[in-house]
Amino acid sequence: MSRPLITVFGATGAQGGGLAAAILGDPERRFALRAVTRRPDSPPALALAWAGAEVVAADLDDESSVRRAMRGAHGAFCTTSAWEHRSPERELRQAQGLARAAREAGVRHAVWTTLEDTRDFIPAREDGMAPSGARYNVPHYDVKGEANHAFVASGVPTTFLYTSFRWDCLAHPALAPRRGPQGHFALRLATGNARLPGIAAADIGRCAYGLFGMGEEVAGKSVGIAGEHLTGRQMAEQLALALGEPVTHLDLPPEPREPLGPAGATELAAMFRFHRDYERACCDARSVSCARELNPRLLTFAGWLALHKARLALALGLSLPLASGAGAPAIPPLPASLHDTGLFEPGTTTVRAENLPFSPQYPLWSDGTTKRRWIRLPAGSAIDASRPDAWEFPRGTRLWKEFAFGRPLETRYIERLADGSWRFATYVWNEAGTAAALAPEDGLEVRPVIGAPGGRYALPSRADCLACHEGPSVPVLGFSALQLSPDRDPLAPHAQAPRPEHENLATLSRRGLLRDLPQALLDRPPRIAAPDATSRAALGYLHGNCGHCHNDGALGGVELALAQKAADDGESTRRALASLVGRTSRFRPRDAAAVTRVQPGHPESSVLVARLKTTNPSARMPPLGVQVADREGIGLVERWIREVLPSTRNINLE
Amino acid sequence: MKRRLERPRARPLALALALALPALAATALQALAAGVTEKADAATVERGRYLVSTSACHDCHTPWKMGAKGPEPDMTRMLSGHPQDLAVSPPPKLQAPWMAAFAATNTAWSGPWGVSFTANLTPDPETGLGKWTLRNFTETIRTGRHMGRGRPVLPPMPIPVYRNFTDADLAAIYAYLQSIPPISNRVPEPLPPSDKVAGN
Repeated sequence: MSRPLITVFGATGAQGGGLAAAILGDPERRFALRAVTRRPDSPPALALAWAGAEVVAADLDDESSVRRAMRGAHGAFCTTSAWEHRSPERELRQAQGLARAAREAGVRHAVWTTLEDTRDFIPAREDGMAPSGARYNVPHYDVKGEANHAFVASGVPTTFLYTSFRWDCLAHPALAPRRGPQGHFALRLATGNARLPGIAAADIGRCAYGLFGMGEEVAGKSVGIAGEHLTGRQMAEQLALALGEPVTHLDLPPEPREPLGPAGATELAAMFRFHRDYERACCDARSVSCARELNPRLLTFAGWLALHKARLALALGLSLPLASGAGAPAIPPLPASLHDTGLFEPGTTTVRAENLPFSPQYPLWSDGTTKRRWIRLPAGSAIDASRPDAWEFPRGTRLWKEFAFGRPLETRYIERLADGSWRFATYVWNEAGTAAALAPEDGLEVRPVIGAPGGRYALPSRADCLACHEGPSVPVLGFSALQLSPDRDPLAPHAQAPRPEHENLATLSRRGLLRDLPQALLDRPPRIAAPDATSRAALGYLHGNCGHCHNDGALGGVELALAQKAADDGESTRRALASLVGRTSRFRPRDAAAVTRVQPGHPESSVLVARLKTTNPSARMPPLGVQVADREGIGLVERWIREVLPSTRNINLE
Repeated sequence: MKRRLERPRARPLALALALALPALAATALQALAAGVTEKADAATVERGRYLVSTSACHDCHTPWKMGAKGPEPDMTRMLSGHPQDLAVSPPPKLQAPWMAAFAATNTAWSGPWGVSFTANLTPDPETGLGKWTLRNFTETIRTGRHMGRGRPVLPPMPIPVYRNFTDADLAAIYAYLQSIPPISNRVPEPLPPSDKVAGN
């Protein structure tokens, strides 16, 4: 057995337990688990032993036992609990002991669960004392931050894991919502309108597992994680949905309650005040997308509620009806009228000012319809743009796209719901162009439509929507860093000339609607890496028309990579060319002799062109939304294959 | 209280890492994901074999041959779909109420949708399902579109029946299909509907 060993302190608790389960549940069994507990004969410890863990007894107050627990370990998950004894000095000693023991044991990667030392943020009073008159502002924060130095000084390669408010604490008597005078539950967080980063305790451990998997790449780094950033009001709303009872958020500190008493309530109040006053810093330091990258199973608050609402109800003295919709928040039905989605000023077809127009630089060909597009984010929210190719849109985001042949025919609608899921619909316009009604779920054919092929126009079904929009990692297709780059491609077919009012990366960033957008993308706006203008436009055309399905995730088995990333130094281009040029096509068109996806110099022998051109519905690409071949776009692709590719083939050889 | 300079601060490093993560994470996290993928155990494969043999998969995806007692599945070509070397003549013209016709192999069907040929379900990488992931397979059956995204799966494939399989059943069927002998057989693409057949 040579699997690297990870020592997990607190393995029978919520955070360490999440890590222990992740180690034992990894089908590759990359690590062995040493579970540390003070009570190796307790039921959770026995369960870990049964599942294959080495269970050892140690006590953080007994440094020699801590050293023994780390002996021979490759990794160590180090965590301390302040609430058990409420002595900052003791917690600091424990943490420093962990760091020393890790050094002495030669641990190669420690993950230390930590928090800010709020004294770095909150200025000390004139008398040099913290506001409470004590040494600390928020003892269980300050101590962990202070203990960071011990890990730095120990020389052990350490990842500083900044955790978030554990939603599990809402079931604790000190924080659980209580009924007020009117009989309604009240949640008292004293965070005002600030967002509080929160997380399921088990996800802390699961994220730590991701860190151990990454090893030395993350040693010496700080990583902040959260499941969601929510205001007290948003948390109350979701609690209400889960519990089936009204819950309100009161901007008041928690009441002093046993077992923590007044001192505990004071500390909690100070903690919430810190999060309120330093909201931006606290939220910026804790990234949801980062946590999800480390731990794809990361729970949202709604997801946590669905799993734990029974426990929560118990803590609140509620009895929950068993058949209460499995924790799914009640989703209001789709509005029957487009006007009720909030696109227009009431009674008009004037688009509301808060709905921002945009136009992607590589639009999808849709039989020559003209399109208009808008997006709206909930007031005060922003897109998490830290991952340039997988923007995280806030809940409540709405997008509209209008299709017209002279008159508006349909307006498609995408909405991100409170539970994080997306829904898709389309609205069909009346002939007068004054109102649009929700189209049936299985689509609709409108006729006659002057200018449309065959005089008909087909609205997509809900399943059609998903076929394209669920292909990439984010179901929003035309609103991305590359599509909104201010460095627009002048040769892109059918691109709408940008109007002054159209948003792009720079304007959105200035408005504060893109959070954590890498500065490099503003300094050098995304642009497809290509040897010449024709290649750039052709690759962009394939990105906009094919890449939402032909990417690694959706159709990996086809091995056709046509999606372009916003900034990857030409890797997307190399991969696109490698998957096209000279590659034998699995699909053999009946009406063409082509067997190669792309044959440089010979568009007529390239299956790519044959499938864009054919009118055979079972061969044509894209498979839906197109009846009429796009002459301009296909012309560009043909020109690229005929004139440009023969001399750029070497790029494919890298 | 005087603050020491070397105190690690959460924000700049966390941000730096958040930016760096996609690149860093690619290898480690993908390896994790790969580990979770379809490592089928024998019981799952056996469950898949049971479902395939009781859910009429062989009826169309294993070509028929003429035996002593009439047509029977040719198990030397098990689940490999319409034989690539079997050219089909133009389909018969049918009069209402007749709508569809099938070839002697039961692997080619003619109807208002055109002519469809049954697919090669063996794990041959170039002509079968060898490169398909479980997700590709599940989404095909659930949506009735190739890999959940592309062209419709044509009749007579009973998608309305099969889409009711549970995820576990589909995973078992997939596991079994990936375990059977690969057969290289390039099934032709479907023929579009002719006006006469489509009656339009």
